[in-house]
Order: sequence, then structure tokens, then C-alpha cells
Amino acid sequence: MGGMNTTIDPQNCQCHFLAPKTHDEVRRLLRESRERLDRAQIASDSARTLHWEGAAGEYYRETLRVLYYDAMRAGLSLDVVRQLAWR
Amino acid sequence: MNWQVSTTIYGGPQPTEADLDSFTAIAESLERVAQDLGNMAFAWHSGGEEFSRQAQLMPGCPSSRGFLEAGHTSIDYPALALNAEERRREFTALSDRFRACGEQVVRTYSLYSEADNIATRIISESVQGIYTLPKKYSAPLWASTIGIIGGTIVLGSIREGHKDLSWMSYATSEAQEGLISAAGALIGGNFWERLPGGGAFSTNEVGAGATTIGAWTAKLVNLFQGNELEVKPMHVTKPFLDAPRNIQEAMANLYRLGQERLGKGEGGTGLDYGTIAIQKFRNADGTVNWLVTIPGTDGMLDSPFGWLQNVELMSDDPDMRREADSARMVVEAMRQAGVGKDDAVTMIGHSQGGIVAATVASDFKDDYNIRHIVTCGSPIANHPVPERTWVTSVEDQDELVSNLDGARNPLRDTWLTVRGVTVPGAPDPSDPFASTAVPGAGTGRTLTHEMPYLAAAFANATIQDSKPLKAHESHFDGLIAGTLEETTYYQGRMRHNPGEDLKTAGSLGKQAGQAVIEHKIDQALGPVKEFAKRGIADKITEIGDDIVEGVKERIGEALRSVHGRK
Repeated sequence: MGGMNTTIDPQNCQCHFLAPKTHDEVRRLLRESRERLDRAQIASDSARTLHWEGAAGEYYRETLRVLYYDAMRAGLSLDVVRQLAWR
Repeated sequence: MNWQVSTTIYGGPQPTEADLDSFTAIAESLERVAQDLGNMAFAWHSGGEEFSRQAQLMPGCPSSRGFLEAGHTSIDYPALALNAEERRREFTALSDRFRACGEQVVRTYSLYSEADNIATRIISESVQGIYTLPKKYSAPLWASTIGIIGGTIVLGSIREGHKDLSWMSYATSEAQEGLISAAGALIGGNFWERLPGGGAFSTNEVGAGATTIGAWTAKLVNLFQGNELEVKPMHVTKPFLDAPRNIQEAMANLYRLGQERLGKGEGGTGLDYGTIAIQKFRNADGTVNWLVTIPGTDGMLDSPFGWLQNVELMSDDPDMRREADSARMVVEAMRQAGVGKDDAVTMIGHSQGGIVAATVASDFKDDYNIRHIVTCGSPIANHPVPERTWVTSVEDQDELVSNLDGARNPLRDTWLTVRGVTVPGAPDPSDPFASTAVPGAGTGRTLTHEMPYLAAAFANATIQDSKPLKAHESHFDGLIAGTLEETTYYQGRMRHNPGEDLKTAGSLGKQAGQAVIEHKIDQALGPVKEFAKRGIADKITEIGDDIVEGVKERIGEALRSVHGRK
């Protein structure tokens, strides 16, 4: 990567001032996302205990099961964000 | 354009308090998660915008273009902003799906139905209160409401490319009950109901209005149609209605009969307007149960199911309801069919047919054993249906007709209401329980009062596997579980009887004369009443002033004594 000449002197580039702010913001977003996704997984797990018979009840439980794994997958996707912020 | 209906179930046998608490807790936790994830989606959106903004603040830096170069930050700003947007989409989708799950629990377990009914009642009574204000305040409101309705019809008709009154129903859906109550109170309400806010303690202003109008229309109908009712069994030229096994099948029969008697059905049966069906079921123990199927208004000149009969059926006067031609016709057909006093009777009706079912259950309760009625698009909230009769009502949110009672149906174990909301578009195949397609719906907006919309609403409610609805379905199914022995069709016709007509004309004339005299008396007494009212108002003001002065004096005395002690 790179290969492109820049006119900005690395010593005086704004990026050194802005990067810590960006990292703080990314850290906050990742932390809050993980917390909320954890809560979503706990809620979907406990909501599945509802005694509901019939096809609609089956569908409801299946939806929650899929949601549990989708929340888990969303948590894994957060790693990509981390990699982009800390290459 | 496709149409789809999603439903909420109100009333019916409720779960135990503990179960209800646990269902509510689950629904709330799913909603909280949905909100949490929705907020997170917004945070990612804001974050993404912030990353783009930061990149713009350092145009010469390679990281702002996604390049990695020694001496500069390694953050890939463009990719980070794009990824934040992807996270926003992901969190929004998760939030929507969690919310849909919570809403499914709420709909199925009728959670918050009481709160919802209370909120609707508050809205209706507020609308009624505002629209019953003195003329100088309410006249502009009525005028602008009519203007809005008219404008919506015009805009809707332009959109549809033809005159379309269904837009009126759509435009007023949220306020229909309040507006209708206000109109009822102004027409027939008592002194208190006519006062702004006076209707807050009553939900049957419509019944009073209907009684006032019905006193006239009943006689006018008699003059036009005659008051002699002829009911006779009809011979069908080919087998038509078969034995329904559940509410959905009974609704399908109701629709078929309604279409057939209007000449829009399969044809070839010989059935005509003003026809109902009575089916006789033999139970294993030898007893007999009955199912009476009553389609709605057909509006034919000599039919007992004309338009104006609806007014009498909506009256708060049981005698007026009993005397409505359509109610008399159904009761006479039941008598001819041989329905016994103790035989279990089930009734299903669309529109006026449903009001007739509620009237028979309410006002002929000592003559028949009405065990269950199913009403489709019928305004029956104010009918005094006894608690022993199960009522399953199917309505649509923006369907004007079932809102004509100006009130929500009572919530009790034996009264369950399926309320649909119809929106354009096809159901989402990824969420098959959320809504149900309306088969054969037209391309434009149509009145959702038609049976296909109501049948779709019930179908959507059925697939939820809701316990209250299952209880109602199994009660209904049990009543028609016997072997179908016969299906008889009865046709009603109104006829003139010269002697009767003369009597009606005479009494109508007398009634008109009385109204004129009362109006004159009102005019003559007007200034006297006004003077008396003003006198009373002055007196009240005087008393009020005295009380205020007295209180001020007492407070002054108390303060003086406190200061004195200091």
C-alpha cells in the first residue's frame, strides 16, 4: 500500500491530532455494541422459554434462535472495524 | 396493488395474572433490546459521519484516502466510514426483528389491550368533547373536518383515477368513534351528553342518536316498504352451503351467501336478496344445535335488510331494535325452522347481519338460547349482549361501519375482538405470521368493510395461535360439531297493507305536528330559558365570589395570627 506521494509533512499532519479521537470513538462504539449484543443474546435466549403452542409459537422460537446467532455474528463483524482502526 | 392485513386480538379468556406478567416482561425485554439496538444503529451512523468529517479535515493525509504511509496514522478512514454504515444497517435490521418478535407476543397474548382500549376511549371522548362545544367553536371544526374528508376523497379519487369514497374512511380512521359519538350526542344525547365533555361518562351516544332518528325513519320505511313482513323458506335448485366446521368456514359461507343473494355469486341456486340460511345440526346425544347465517344490507326496496333498518337496530331502545324489519325477519325464520327455546343457537352475520345477531342475543334472550355470535364489520359495542353469549367480533381499523357504534367493544372472557389493520403491499414472506394477503382485493383502496378483508383479518388472527382466540374458536366449533341434517334458506319481503299504511301515515303526521309544536314551544320558551340560565349563572358566580372572599379572609386571619405570635 502507499506509493502515493503526499505533500503533507508527516511531523505536522493533522492525523496525529485526530487519530486518538477516532480511536476513542471506535473503542466506545465497539464496547457499547458488544454490551448491547450480549443483552440481545440473553433476551432472545430467555424469551424462547415462553410457552406458546402451534406453528406461530414454533416460528417465534425459531426466529429468536436465529436472532441469537445473528447477534453473535454481528459481534464477530465488529472485529473488522477494529482492524480498520488499528492496521 | 396487493393488500395485507395484520391483526391485534382484544378480550377473550385472559391468562392468569402471573402468566400475563411473564408475557409482558418478555415482550418488554424484546422491545428494550430493539430500542437498544436501534440506538446503537444511530450511534454507528453518527460515528460514520464523524469519521468522514475527520478525513475531510486532513485532505493531504494518505489515511484520509485509505492509504498506509510511514509517519501517518494507520487508520483507514474511508473504509471505516463505510463499515460504520454497514454496522448501522446490521443493527437496524436486528432491532426491527427483535421488535417484530415482541409485537408478535403482544398481539397474540392481547397484552395492553385494556390500556389500548382506555387510550382509544380517551381519544374518542376528547374528540367528542371538542366537537360538542358551543356552535361558535365547533362549527369551524366540523367545517374543516368535512373539508379534510372532502379533500382526501378528491386526492384519493385522482390517485385512483375514479370517484373513491373509501378514502373518507381512511382519512377519519383514528377519530371515527369520537366523531360519530359527537354526532350521536348532538342528535339524540341528553342534556349532559350534549355538554362539552359531558359524554365522557357514556359510550352510547350513538344509540340515543339512532333512537331519535329511528323514530322517524322506521315510519318512513314503513310508508315506502310497507310494514307487513312475509318470510318463507326457499327451495334451492342445487346444493349450496355445506357444513362449516369452524369460524373461518362459517365466514366463507357467509360471504358466499351474501354474494349469491346479490347476484354476484356462483349463480344457479335461485337464491335472491333478503335471504338468510339456517342450518340444523344433530348432536350425538340426540339434541339439536342451529347455525344462523345472516348477510348484510342489500338495500332492495322490499327487503327487510334495507339501509334504514340499520338505524333502528342501533337504537338504545330495545323495543325499537326488536321491531327492526331485519330482526323480525330472522326471528320469524328461526320460528319457522323450529328452533326451540333451549336449543343451542350460533349466529354469524356481516354488517347489518351481525347487528341483527347481537339484537337477537340481547333482546330475545328469554326466547332463545343464543350461545355464540360471530359478527363481521358490525357496530355492536353498545348492544347489551348477555355474558353467557360468546361474541367474536371481526373488525378493521379504518372500516367505517364497525366504528358506527362510537365505542370499543367490551373486554371480557366471552367477548373477543379481532381488529385488523389493512395496508398496501404483499406480506413479507420472511415473516409469515405478521400479516395475511387479502385475496381478490382490487388494485385501488377499497372499503375494508367487505368480507374478504375481514376474512383475511380473521385468518391472520387464527395463525397466531392465540389462546383467547383458540378458546373462542373451540367454543364455536363445539356448537356446530354435530351432523348437518338440513340447510334451509328463508327469504323476507316487505309488503304494503293499506290499513297499516294509513295508520303509519297518520302517526307520522301526528309526530311531525308534535315536532312543529315542540319547536314553537321551544322558540317561545327560548328567551325565558335564557333569562333563567343567566340568573342561575349569576347566582353561581355570586356564590363563588363569596367563597373566594371568605377563604381570603381566613388566610389573612391565619397569617395575622402567625405574625402576631412571632
